Amino acid sequence: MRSVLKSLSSLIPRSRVPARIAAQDLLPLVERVPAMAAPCRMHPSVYAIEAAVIDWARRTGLRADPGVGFHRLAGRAFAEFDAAAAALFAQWLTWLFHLDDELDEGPCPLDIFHGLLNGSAEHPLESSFADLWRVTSSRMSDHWRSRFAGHLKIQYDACRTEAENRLTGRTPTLTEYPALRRGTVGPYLFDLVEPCLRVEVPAWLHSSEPWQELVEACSDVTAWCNDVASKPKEHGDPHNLVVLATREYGLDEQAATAWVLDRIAERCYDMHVAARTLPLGDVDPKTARDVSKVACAFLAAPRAHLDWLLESTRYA
Amino acid sequence: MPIDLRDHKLDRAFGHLDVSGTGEIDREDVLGLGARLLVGFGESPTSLIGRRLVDGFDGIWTALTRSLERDNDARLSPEDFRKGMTAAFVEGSGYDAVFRPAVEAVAELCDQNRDGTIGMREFRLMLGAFGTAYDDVGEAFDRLDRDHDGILTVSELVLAVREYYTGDDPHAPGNWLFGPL
Repeated sequence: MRSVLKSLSSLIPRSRVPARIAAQDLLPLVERVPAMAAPCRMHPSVYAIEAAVIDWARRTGLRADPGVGFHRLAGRAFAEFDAAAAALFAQWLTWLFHLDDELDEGPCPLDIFHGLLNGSAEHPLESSFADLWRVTSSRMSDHWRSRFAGHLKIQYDACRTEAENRLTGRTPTLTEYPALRRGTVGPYLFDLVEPCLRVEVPAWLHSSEPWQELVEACSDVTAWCNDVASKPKEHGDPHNLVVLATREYGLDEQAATAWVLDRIAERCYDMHVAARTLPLGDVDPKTARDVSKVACAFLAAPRAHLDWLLESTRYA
Repeated sequence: MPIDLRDHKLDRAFGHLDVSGTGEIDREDVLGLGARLLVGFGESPTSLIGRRLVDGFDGIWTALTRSLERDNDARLSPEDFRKGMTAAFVEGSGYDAVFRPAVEAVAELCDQNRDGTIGMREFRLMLGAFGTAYDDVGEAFDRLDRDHDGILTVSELVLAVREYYTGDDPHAPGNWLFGPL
């Protein structure tokens, strides 16, 4: 990929060569991490997925920017499934990143969580959440709904901690950062794969150590890749693993980025081990297949996310 | 007799896909088997092997439905499956171009240390994905191990798969791929 990018850029007049994007620092992972070596398949109906996202965003009052490419991220994550599955996930991603922007730039960012948890529909984020929740939750059990709500609360707590840190100037430690970052990512993002695929992981299996490790490792990989790609936009905010590594170890940015890539590669291996130890022999064949589809979505997520980081205008 | 044998084997193969027991299969059932195989080995669909496996299984489905002149989103009965598999991969020329690459991807997946051999543990993991009973795996392994050296080579497995899905010889070791018929 790097050699392709380099050869392409040499053909473009210098004045039109795009500025280098930080996400390109993640390219070595494609060669280092076997699970990220092959590009994701793209859903054949990716344009229909894009249309579904734009229509939904307009209907619910959110901004839809095709350049951000959530339809392409979802199109890769759900390439083997029906377009409706990918469209629903893309709509949730659109909502999630609007929430992210509200938390970063809104006047009373944390108040939005109270509205979400109370079923309010005054703010566009609340009404769009209600719309997605109506479609998504109807497919799932009370247990899943409770799990999702719990994960929304975790995100609220993590965002509150992050806000307090910024107010007081406190820097999180490297030890506490992974759990804090998993919280700010929004653990419910990983719950959404099940309703999009119209399956549900049995509660006992979801609580098992291998499943929890698979999800947490996947969350770490996607979050830390995001940290590398978004670092130029974050102006030294310590809630970024690259920034923390520079401060903790006295590294320059290039060395800190390399350190983060080492951690990402380790967590990718942890995902492989966790998947391999899932107790699939303890469930019936249909459940094993359903669970495997969800697990495969997690296993493919690092490469799907990387491809999106490289092409999205959000990180340009 | 030979045709009944192959139909019997293909009916069992249909059962490997129809885990919901609805009497019909679709593309998601084929890819679901692929997902189950990958996860059993902790392999990502975006590794080189994982990508080859997913592409291979999708290719089998496409060839199967095309041979029946059906769309990719068709639902197939056991009879459709027998007809399509026979047309595409037994009587037709699709085995080497389409089916074999998928088989080789599965065999590569099982060959965890890349030495060209598959141990009992990996063989059991593979057959577990297809729903083969635990107690049948040992005998299947022994039957496929043609030179009785306690090791199954990748090429022995690839040959066995061909015998299972396309062969009509009642004495072929490949008939034992998924245990006793």
